[in-house]
Amino acid sequence: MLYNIGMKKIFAGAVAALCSLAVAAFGGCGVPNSGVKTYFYMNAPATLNVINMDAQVGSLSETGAAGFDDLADKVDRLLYSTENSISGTFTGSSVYKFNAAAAGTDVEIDKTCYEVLTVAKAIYEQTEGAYNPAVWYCEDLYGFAPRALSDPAMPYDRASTKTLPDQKYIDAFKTLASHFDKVTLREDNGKYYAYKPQETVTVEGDTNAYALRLDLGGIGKGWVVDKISDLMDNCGAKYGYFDFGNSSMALKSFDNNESGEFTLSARDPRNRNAPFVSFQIKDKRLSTSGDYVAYYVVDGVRYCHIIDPATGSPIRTDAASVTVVGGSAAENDAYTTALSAMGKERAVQFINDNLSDRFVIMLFLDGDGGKIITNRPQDVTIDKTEYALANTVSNGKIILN
Amino acid sequence: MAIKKIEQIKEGKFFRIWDIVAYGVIVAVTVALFLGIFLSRDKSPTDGIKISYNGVQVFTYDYSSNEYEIVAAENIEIVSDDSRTLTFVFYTRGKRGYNKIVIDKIEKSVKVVDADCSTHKDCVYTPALADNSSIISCPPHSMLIEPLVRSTDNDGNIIIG
Repeated sequence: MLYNIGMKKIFAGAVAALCSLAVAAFGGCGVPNSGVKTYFYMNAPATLNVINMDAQVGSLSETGAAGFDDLADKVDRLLYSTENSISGTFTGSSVYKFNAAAAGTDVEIDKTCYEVLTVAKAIYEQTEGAYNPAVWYCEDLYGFAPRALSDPAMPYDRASTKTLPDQKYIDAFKTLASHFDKVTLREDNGKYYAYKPQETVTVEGDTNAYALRLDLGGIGKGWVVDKISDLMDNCGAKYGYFDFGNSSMALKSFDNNESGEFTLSARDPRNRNAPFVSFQIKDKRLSTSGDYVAYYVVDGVRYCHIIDPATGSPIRTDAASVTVVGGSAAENDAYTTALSAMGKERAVQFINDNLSDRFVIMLFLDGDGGKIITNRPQDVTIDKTEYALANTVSNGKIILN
Repeated sequence: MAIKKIEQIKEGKFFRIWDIVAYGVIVAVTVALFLGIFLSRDKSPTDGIKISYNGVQVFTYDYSSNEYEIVAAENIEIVSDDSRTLTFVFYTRGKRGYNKIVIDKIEKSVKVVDADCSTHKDCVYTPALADNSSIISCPPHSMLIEPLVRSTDNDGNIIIG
């Protein structure tokens, strides 16, 4: 009878509704507000570790992320978009387009690249060129610049790193990098442009005219750490941290001790299994760098990935590790490179003049052993007894012993 | 409808075999989903509780140290604090609404015992929060009580460089 069909529909509907209710009521409640997520971008691992986010979930959510998973997804998108903007090897990135463009042209870049370059130019000027993102050819000459698979072999390529580059290339590329001050940025109707200087360099016996290229790897990790730190703040992630490659970090509070401070230990550049110095911090952003990240040795001399723009070659300043805490991680990322290149006395002068509001720890390794220089010696625990503090502090200024 | 069709329907049974199979599959999937999600919930005892208002944390309590922190004084008023219970009142902005909350320090649980949020008072009838698997929410007051989880995979030491 017809009654049967109607009853069946009602019965089926009731079963489906009850099943949905059962799952929703008992299974689906509670979105995680803590978690750990790892990523891999810009050739480095990254870790987001958050506990007890304050941002609320479900019906109570007004702003911010709906729990840890939502935050982790937003972090993923930030890392992805940043890498796709400033990577020198992604053919669609802004930096790739800039590097591939002819000298003397206006290159359209995306907003991320524009913002990173804005910070880079500011630190370039403040450090009087000690940080210079235009040393790409110098890095490549020594074998440290990442190349895209499509990049051709270069005339200056060497068979191995057991020999050093020709001085004529070093001189030419050092000169090329000095034109970074001619890179200009502009915004026009929501579009962003970077002017590529018209200056090129040539080398005797080489038919190429080399135009300026950028490497924003020395500031990009710090830049995205700043963005993720802001995102964590907006999402109520007060406890935890974001670590990008052990070199740039945004630290919030540690949830399981009274002070809320994390204990940070900086690896010994010459014994990577042990720290040489430790300190406590919370709610800070930091960057660290050193001559241990990538290097090779020729005739007993260490050649590392940090280029001194003044010489066009790897730093020879004995700076083995530099850490800058506080303020912006992007700025700190650039400062660590600049301080490494400056040398001891100039670096101390720069810190005294410009970085008294930040916490700086430097390790210099020379023939006499390890010398630690910091503007806050009272906050530092030296873990390696062979290394010694090489300064005092008076009125907030570093005074070398 | 044709007389012949009506006769066919009249002869039909309320349940045919494939009806029963279909209902069986639906129920089996539901039970599997329920068990999978329900059994995987974190039933471990909570380390404390935290209360948020409009997404902003206003109060925390730690069972192990028996310490509480009032982050927003305008939202929390302590009523009593003894060896067994901590009783306090959560107020919305301008004290236009309230939830009376009791923490049982021995049982390590928290419960809303009174509120003026609505006639239903769902928050009052929500079972006490005693593990890491559940929450107590009061949507009319934009108030949420959640378990406070302490780091277990991190001792606060981080290596850089």
